[in-house]
Amino acid sequence: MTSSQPAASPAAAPPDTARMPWPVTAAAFLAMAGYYSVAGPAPLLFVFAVGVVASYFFRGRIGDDSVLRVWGRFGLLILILLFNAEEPRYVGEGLGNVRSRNIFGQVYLAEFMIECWRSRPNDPTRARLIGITCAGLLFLVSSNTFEDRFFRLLTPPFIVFTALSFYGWRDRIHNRAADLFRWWVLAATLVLGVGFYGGVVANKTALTEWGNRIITDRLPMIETGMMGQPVLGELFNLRGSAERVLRIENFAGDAHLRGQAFDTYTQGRWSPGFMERRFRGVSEELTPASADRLLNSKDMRVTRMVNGTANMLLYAPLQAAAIDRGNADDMDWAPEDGGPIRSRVRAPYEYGVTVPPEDRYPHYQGLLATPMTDEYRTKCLRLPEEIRPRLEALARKITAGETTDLGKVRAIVDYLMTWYTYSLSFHRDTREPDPVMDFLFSEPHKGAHCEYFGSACVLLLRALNIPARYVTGYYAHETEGQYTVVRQKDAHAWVEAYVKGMGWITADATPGDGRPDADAVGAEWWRKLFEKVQDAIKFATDWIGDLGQNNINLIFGVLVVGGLAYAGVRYLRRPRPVGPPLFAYSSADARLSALVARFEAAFAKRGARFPEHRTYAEHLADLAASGKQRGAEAGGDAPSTAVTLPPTLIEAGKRFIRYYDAARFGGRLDEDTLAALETALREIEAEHP
Amino acid sequence: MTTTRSLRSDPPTILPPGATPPTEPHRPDIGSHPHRVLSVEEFAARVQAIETNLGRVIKGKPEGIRLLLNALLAGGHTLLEDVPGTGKTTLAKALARSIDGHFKRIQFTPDLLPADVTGSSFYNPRDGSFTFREGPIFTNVLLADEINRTSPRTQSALLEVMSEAQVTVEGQRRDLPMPFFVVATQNPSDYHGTYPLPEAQLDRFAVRITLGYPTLEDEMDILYSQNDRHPLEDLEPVLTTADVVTLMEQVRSVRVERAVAEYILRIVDATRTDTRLRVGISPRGSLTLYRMAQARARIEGRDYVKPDDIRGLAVATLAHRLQLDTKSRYGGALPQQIIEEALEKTPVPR
Repeated sequence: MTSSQPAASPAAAPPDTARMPWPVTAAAFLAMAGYYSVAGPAPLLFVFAVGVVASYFFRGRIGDDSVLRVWGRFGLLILILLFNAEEPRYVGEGLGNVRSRNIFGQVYLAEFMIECWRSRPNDPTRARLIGITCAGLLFLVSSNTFEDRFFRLLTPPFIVFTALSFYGWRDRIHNRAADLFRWWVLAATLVLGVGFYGGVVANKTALTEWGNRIITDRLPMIETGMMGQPVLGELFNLRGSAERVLRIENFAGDAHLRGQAFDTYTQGRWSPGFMERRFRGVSEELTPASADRLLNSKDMRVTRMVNGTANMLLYAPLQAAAIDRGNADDMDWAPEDGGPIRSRVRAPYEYGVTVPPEDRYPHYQGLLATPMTDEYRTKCLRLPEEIRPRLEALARKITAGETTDLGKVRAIVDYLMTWYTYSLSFHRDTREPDPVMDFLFSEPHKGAHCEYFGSACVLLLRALNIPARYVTGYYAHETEGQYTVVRQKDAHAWVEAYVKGMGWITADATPGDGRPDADAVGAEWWRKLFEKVQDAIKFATDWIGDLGQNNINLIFGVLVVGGLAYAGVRYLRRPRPVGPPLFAYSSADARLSALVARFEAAFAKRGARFPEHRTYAEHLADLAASGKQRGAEAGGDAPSTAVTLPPTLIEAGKRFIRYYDAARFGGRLDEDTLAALETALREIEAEHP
Repeated sequence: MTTTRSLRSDPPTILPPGATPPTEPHRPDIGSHPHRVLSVEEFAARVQAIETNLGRVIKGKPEGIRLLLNALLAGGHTLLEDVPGTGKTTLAKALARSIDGHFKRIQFTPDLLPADVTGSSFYNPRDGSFTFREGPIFTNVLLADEINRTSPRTQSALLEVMSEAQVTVEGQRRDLPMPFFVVATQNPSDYHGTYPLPEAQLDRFAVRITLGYPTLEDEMDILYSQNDRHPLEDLEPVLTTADVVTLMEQVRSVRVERAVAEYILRIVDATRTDTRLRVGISPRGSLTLYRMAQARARIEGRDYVKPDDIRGLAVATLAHRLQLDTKSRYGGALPQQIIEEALEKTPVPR
């Protein structure tokens, strides 16, 4: 029987130093390059690239039973989630969620790296499968999303390398008729997966809501409280978790870090909403030349650590004289609406705030102090007519004897602080349509939270013809080493009043026990640990950022080119397959060949094929052994013989082979032997159902 | 004892399969007809007798014993590689006793000289002549213990002896008694103060055998069987050395179909093209595999070689001849694996 089978797969490497086959490496590096062109210089990408390359040079491998594999994977996952905890910079570009796509890509790259470091018991196909699957999925997702010249360049070689990787599968697939079960499992998995995907897509809205309900941490709060329009409800919706929002270096100025101000009040609702504000781009206004003339002013560096939503505010005290926008190139603000400043730069985003010294410039009117025009004055004095009379009466009663505006503000703040108590919840009496009136006039006074104190203070001031506005932001009080830390639970609401001769001043009517620092229990240990890691990552990112885009491109280019070059070297130095045989085997007698062809066909009908590199006798012995094993315990698998044949058939087969060997190799090719062979063959063929 | 070696040209009469064999005596007919042509069954029965005999002393290692006999009958020598105390010496002694031959042992040490191995001439003052005193290699079974502990110079003294069964001392050629069978041992775990065997010498060993530890049951058996005396002392010869020579001759008459020889060459060729190897299998290696397969066929009661014989012997016969290149050696590749891979890559003749 002639055969010229070129060895398709490279010889299996010894278990301890097994490396990824070169096409897998090449494909993975191409995919990595594609991913890089999509995602930019993600630090983890460097980690993975270095990890993959290092696996070629170091001998150590992680065994299948090693705990390192589990913990390593766990650690990488944590790392990936940490690095992707922020919202990506450009939302809405491309298909799907950028963040989930990034996480997806990085998880698969991490898997690929782990796979590079695992010991493989002489079976490179599993690694090949995983490597190519991940690279392919990644490439697919990225290239679906972006039309880019990189992809046009990278796709053809990627496909070639993928095809090369699958080339080794060829003969396996040929030999796997008996392994139909695995294909069934694969197909079933695919069907189930498609079904699951369909179900998820169909119920996406419900699932998202469900998820939001589980993650109560920040989504509803930020949407309604900080970012949207404050609505006075029963519960304080600004009070949040201990999640770190801001990290401030060189803290200076007022503890009240304002986010946005609201001027219009209607029945417990403050407006304008975030979307109604008249934002416009920022040119030089945020760093006015006048700020340079301020003596001894302090520059505090604020780092925003979270991204709640796409429109992020910058927090600064009212006295801020200048704001250094940092690396934000898309900043805008709405100075006529009380000066909220926003930037979509993803966290950690660092900006600077220049604060003049309070002793030298008391009540400094900085950037955020809206110029008092007639129009704005009208806005800041507006009161709903139905509540005006009662408010005016109360306000006059409180401020009796006060002549100056400042004195009136003080009197009202004192009044609210003295006679009202703080409570996180407010029991609303629905007979009173206006919540603030409910708060002010119910007897006995009900406890309420800072939103009520702030709102009430604004309305009372307006009733006295003092322009005032309602401000939300954070109350900074916690120091941690050189930093001041602001957490989500430090969210607060207060008042800014315009006093003639002084300008805008901050007034906080919330009683001391209601200030965010009153329950300063600090953060849990795990949160602090998390923050340390976050800071370390920011440090690393800063360091990479300092390299400059060109250098990063250069480094990554060297990595990719080096990886490809190494794959090429591996290809050139791959174990040479056995060349075409020098000679074909001397063929057997034609009568014998015909008989043995019938013999093979009879067994093939039962699902048993005879591998080319083993003798008939060996394979029959294996078949018999696997049959016995299956008889003894169900589910035992003998290698490459996945069929169970009746023992009588195997016995007949062995008899046939005994005669065949004697005839083929023993030169005993007489009529008797042929007759015996024919008899045994009949028996085998009769066994076939 | 010297015997002329002759290769029979006409094949022996062969019984067709299924034919009733001639009635076989229970005990083999020891040494009665040294040159009689034995039937396949007679041959197998004689080998079986030695195997049983050795099995009384070396418990639980039938494969090792069979490989040893296989090498003996193929006219090759054996390298026993094992940790101390696993019965290497006992096996060699028992073999010598079973075939009624001489047994000698050389303990190889760094200061051993070639003359200590081969023998040397002594001056006889009485008649003023030189008398040759035979060294320990003039024996049937030679145990070369810890062969890698002596210098390459002394090791090379064995080269001629092993391949040609003769020794040249002081310009005079001397034949060794037949059969001449070297059982060399080396300890794989201890490399301090050793001289690794030169490739040329490694190539002269037909097989490398590793006995390994016995199973605990067998070891229990060993403990009690040696209670009163060593079973080696009770061992009776079952064959004579002349019988062994006859058997060795008969091995050569085993038929090797051309396709089977081609199979040997393909396997050997696969090792020569393997990039992980510095040196592939030599023609001496393929010849040894050929002869070993013939002996194995005889031992198993056949007069023809099957591809199964080649596959069964390839690792033991070929693996120790391979020289891995430095990268593969430190990369953890094993010669056994490379031979196994070559077997997996090479289609069998059918």
